[in-house]
Amino acid sequence: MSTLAALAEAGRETRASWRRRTTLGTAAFAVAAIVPFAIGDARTADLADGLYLACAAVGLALAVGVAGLPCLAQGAFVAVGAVAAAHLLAHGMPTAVAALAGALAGGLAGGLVGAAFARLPRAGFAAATWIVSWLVAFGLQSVPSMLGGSKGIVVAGGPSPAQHYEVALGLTALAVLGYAALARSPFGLALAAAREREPAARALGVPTTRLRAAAVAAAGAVAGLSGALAVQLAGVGDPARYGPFLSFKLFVVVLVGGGLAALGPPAGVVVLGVLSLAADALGSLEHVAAAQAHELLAAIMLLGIVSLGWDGIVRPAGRDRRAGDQAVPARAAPASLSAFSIGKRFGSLAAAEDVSLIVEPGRITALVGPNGSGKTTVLRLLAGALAPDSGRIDRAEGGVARTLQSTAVFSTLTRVEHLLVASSPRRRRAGFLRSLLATPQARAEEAAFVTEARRVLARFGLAAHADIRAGELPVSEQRLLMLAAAYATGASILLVDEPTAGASATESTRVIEQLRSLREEGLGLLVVEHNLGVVRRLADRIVVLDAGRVIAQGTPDEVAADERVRAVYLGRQSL
Amino acid sequence: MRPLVLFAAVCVLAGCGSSASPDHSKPLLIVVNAPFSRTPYLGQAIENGARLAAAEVNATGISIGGERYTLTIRIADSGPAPARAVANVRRAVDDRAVAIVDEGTGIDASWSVAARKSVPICVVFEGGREVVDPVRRPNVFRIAPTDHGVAFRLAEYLLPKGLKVALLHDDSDYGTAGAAELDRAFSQNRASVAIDETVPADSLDLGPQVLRARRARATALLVWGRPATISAALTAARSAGWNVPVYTPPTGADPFVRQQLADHPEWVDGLTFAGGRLTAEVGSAPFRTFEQKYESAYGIDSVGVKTRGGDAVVEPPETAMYAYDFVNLLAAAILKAASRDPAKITAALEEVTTEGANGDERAFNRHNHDGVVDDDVYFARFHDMTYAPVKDDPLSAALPTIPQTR
Repeated sequence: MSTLAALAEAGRETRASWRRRTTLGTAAFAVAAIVPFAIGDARTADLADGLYLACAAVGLALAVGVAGLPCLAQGAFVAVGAVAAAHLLAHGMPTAVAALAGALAGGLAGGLVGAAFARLPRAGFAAATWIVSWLVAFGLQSVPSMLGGSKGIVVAGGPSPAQHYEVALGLTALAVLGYAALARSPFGLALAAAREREPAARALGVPTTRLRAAAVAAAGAVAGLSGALAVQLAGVGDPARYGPFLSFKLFVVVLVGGGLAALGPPAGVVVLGVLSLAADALGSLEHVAAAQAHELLAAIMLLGIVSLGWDGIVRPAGRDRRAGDQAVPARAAPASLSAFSIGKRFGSLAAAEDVSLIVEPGRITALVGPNGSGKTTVLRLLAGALAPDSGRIDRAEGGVARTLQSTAVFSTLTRVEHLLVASSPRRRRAGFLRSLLATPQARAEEAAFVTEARRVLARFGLAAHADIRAGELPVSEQRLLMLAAAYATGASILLVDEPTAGASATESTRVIEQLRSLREEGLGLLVVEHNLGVVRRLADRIVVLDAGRVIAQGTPDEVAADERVRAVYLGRQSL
Repeated sequence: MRPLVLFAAVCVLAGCGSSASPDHSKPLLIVVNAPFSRTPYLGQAIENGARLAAAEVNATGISIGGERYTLTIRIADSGPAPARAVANVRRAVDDRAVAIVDEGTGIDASWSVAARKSVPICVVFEGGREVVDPVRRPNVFRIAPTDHGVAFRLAEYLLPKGLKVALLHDDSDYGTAGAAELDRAFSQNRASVAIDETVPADSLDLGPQVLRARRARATALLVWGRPATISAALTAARSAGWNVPVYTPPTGADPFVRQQLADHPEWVDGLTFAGGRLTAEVGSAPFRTFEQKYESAYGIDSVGVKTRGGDAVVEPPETAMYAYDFVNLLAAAILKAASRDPAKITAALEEVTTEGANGDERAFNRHNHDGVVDDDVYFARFHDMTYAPVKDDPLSAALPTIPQTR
């Protein structure tokens, strides 16, 4: 596609997706752009500073809102960008170079923090990043070479406050657009899935830790860029500006404005700005210093948000997804999954021992056994979620997908988005930069996968209301949706954990039909199931586990006749 | 929709805030940029000095081209954080201030903001070497003792005594700048320095550092830092029974030191500090007059401690005096320039002379923007929570004592 054709296509898409809020946003941007002509330098500088804060907050929203990480180190990333830029600017480097260096430094700091802490639970992540904020603040205060100590580093020259304002406004607009592009991209959807139900996302092949680290790195890069430009606007790199309160304030801004909408953080900055003016007025009446009044205000707002369960001023808009007719990459070729004498211990407990089995294309293998016999452990070993202590597993790369024991949908994502999350490993043009820039190829590929997703939903009988959030679906449909998602990964082997648990007879029949249909298509299925009636109706082959060991395997008739199986598992039941 | 409304509200609010004169005269705005929230005593003193002078000037009025003008004082809290200080100066310039009276925080960055509109800034506290430079910073003036002057006068005073001096300075901006000046001042006599120690600015316990100084066989302590550092050093030395003489820069006279040591007034006895003299050759009368006007307008600046006889101790308004002197100089410069144009006022500031609150002449010229010369630095020693000029320094011995009790 030529550049002109791509631009024309982009124009058509823009026209098609234009909404009233787009018009309002564009009008607000145009009005905001002429503000410096109406006010003086000082107030322009204040507004530019607020816009840089908004820009950093939009970056933070990617981590807090989309990824669900309570990141309390955004102020520290702003500081890192400011330190890098202040040193370069003080040595006469151009603003653009300093800004780039600030973004890189902030991104690097964010990447390090993300890599170190992204695997922690949320409370741990919040605590760790809060400590990072304090460490950076202490460093700036106590190591004068970092930012000039209490005197700061003087940053002379550079753009005027009005020029800074226009740059800040443009950057904030770009950050908002970038956020919107990333949030709807496979990157954002995968982060949202990990935020909603991490184990389910992992089961679909989403590299949750890596994506979260990338989100924090991206947040850090935006913060670093904002810090680099804001330090020049201020005219001095001042350690007092980068205390932990800055991180706290940015966090509150995102929560107040809404972390799941691109315009949420700017809205939060506006609210905080207006309330700060009120706090200044009240503070002066009560003889409370402005800085203390602001801290008090932010703390009260955070308490209010936490106690009221506030979702933010700006709520996420529904996302229209264009369908397209481009071909999608083919599913994985039919292949077997083989385990040879695998074992896994958890301390003194042998959860799996000397387990050998094979899952073949076009066949359903049932894995059964008493509670605690090691079925789920074996399933996780086969999926690659656990590494075996012994033995070997032969599986094709990207050829295995797993569903979880419990019904686990990503409640804020639509059915189509569930399948887009699942199919993201098959995407070839959905990298971070392509997603951020929403390139023509990335958009075309997205449209093709939307078509594919709708086709898969229809195949599983889920085509109706494909764009409503999954949390609003009945449980029976949620169960089928996760099965559809596993299918959408393109894997040739599906590991299905208790697909009919808690289902009515009608619902079970619907699931069984779908599983049979998948077998007809040539997929290999390993089904863990307690309902022996279901097993009998489904399984071509049965593997029986007891105490982590395979005690029998064969056709249903062979297993049913096995005395040992009858003794330890079936009892009076029959297959 | 809501974000738009809020954004519009911000824009409207941001445009508000202009001040209006209460009478028919036109205002000439002077902004006092000082750390009101961090060190309220200092900020209040500067503000009061500026307001007192403005009230006196306004009583007679300033007339330019047939128009009557009044000086209006507005305060801006710098924190003290350099970035806030710069933002305050930017706003002052935006609001067409004719001058800024500044404590000195952030001056290295803020002077250039004011220089774009040639707005004069007068520093009335910070004594750093690079603050004032008539060539590079033509709009920056200072009426306050310089660190250089204080350091060299201390060296000049201490060296003949044959003392082995332990130099303690904190790691604050003020302490670091002072340490650099002390290093220069003692560079020709390193043998008289027993030890040179940097101490944390906010530490409450300087016992280890003072002990090291004692082990280095120091026979005097010279502590350059914030008031908290000075009280901590005194506490550490005296509580250990080490009764060497202690010398400080002007921060030794800060009420905070005496407040901290109120339970041990004997530890304050003998503390000697260097500061800008409050009286001139003509005696103490001018300063006493200024002090009475100051106290009539704003009340006494109580130190918060009492003498052994039970008298309340008050602080002479030294810092207020510098702000007062600058506003008077500024009024003279405005009249000389016959204009409210900051560039013309800045130029005129180099050409006018006024009598300062202590009876000294206050003036700048194109080569010197420092209104307090090194010879104006004197030494005073505490006794019973009040201080008096020392008798063993020629430039201090003849100075009268300012009463400090009420």
